[in-house]
Amino acid sequence: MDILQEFIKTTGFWSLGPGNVVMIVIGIVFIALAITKDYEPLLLVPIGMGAIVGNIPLIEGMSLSVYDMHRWVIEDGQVNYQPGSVLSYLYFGVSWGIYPPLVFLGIGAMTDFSTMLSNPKLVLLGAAAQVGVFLTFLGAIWLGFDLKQAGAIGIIGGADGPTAIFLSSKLAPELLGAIAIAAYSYMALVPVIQPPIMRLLTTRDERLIRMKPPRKVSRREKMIFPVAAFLICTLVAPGAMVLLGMLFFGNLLKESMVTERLANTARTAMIDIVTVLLGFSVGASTEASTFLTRQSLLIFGLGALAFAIATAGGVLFAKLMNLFLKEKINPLVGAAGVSAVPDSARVVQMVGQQEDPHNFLLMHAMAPNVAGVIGSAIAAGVLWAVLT
Amino acid sequence: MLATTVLSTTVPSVFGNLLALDETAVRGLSIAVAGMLIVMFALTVISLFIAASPRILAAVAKVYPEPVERHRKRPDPKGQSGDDEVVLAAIGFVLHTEFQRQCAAENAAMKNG
Repeated sequence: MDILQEFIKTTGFWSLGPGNVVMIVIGIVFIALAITKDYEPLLLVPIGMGAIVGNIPLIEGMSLSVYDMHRWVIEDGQVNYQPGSVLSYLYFGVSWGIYPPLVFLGIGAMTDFSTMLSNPKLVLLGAAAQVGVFLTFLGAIWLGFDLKQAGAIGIIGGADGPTAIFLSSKLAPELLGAIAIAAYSYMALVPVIQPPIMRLLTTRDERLIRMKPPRKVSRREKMIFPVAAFLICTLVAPGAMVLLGMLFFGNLLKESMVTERLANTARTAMIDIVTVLLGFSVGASTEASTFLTRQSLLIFGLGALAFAIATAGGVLFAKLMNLFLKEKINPLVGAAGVSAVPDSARVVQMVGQQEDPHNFLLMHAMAPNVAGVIGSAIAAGVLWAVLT
Repeated sequence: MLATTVLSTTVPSVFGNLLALDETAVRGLSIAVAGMLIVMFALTVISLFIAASPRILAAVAKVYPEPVERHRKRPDPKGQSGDDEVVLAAIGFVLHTEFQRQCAAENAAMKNG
């Protein structure tokens, strides 16, 4: 009987707290959203499943959690090695910022910079949208977070999951779970968050603006761009070297045309493997005891604010540019400056087509979209360099 | 009167808040402004480089012209689908011709019969 009682005490039912239940429900909601609404399924399914796994109560003495890292213990004057849990080794790539650059390599190998190269003024919209990062950074300071934490929270406004994870692993590892979940949740909710702001800040006439089709970009331009852009960005902000180095390296693999096999691996098998490991281990790091805090709620609030400001920043800057341009830009395109590739570009296309079904804005929106990826990586590099 | 009251209460509170800005907030503000300017500067330089690159490359092309076909082309999915269409069209043409021939033969047989 005693043995049975002891066994019952080791089951999950015995030590399952309300926080664990809440997090398991959140995990299930993520999976349901991904399956039923098709919201970022490649990320929400691994994160959701990870959240469920990470919130199964632990058995005392067993090394199971992502936080059960390997360590050296002194016992009876002897130094003994205690291995970490399996999940802690998977989480190693997150906590040391290894996965995000690998994801960037794959993104680089997928990205076609042609639309950006054909219309360089649209690059500025990717910069304008980064206002969301820095205003949220100030908001976080105002709410009482220290500078490093505020920097990590602010980068949610970049709408770039890997960048958010990379920077928070460097500046505020204690907030990594909340920041990653907030960033990916809002990225999944781009089709819900952005359209009302875009409509609010533009008139119907502005939404009807048609833009000139992009010019054809030569092979040589595409090959030179990754090297030149990397040099420009990292000489200005060396902190962005890791993320941008991998992004432009991936793009060079694609555009050089002589490393097709490597580019193909980077944009298919490799990015898939890293995405699975990243999503699952980030999800598993959301243990209720560390995740369900007042800070996490504040981070979620600030994350929503960051997305809204970034969207508004891009749209308003496009309107400002129109004051000086002969060939007008459709201001909706500015909303794509928040990275979130390619979802925010798709949202621009969707909102534009609601006014004029024959207006194709997708290719134009891809320019600020990829510029936003570069912009958010530079912003992360600046914050990392200044706050370390 | 009301305006005076509002001003007398809000102005000191605004100034009070400004004075209350501690070192962290001031540093945060300077980081935010500098960060935004750096991002804007970097992307402006990229934008200028992209704008100038066709002219630079045109000048380079005079000395070192761009090779027409230096490397093996990637398989073109459009090309493949085009081939498929040609094959389908050929099959369709043969079937159509054969069908016409059979119909003509049947008509001739009926007339003769």
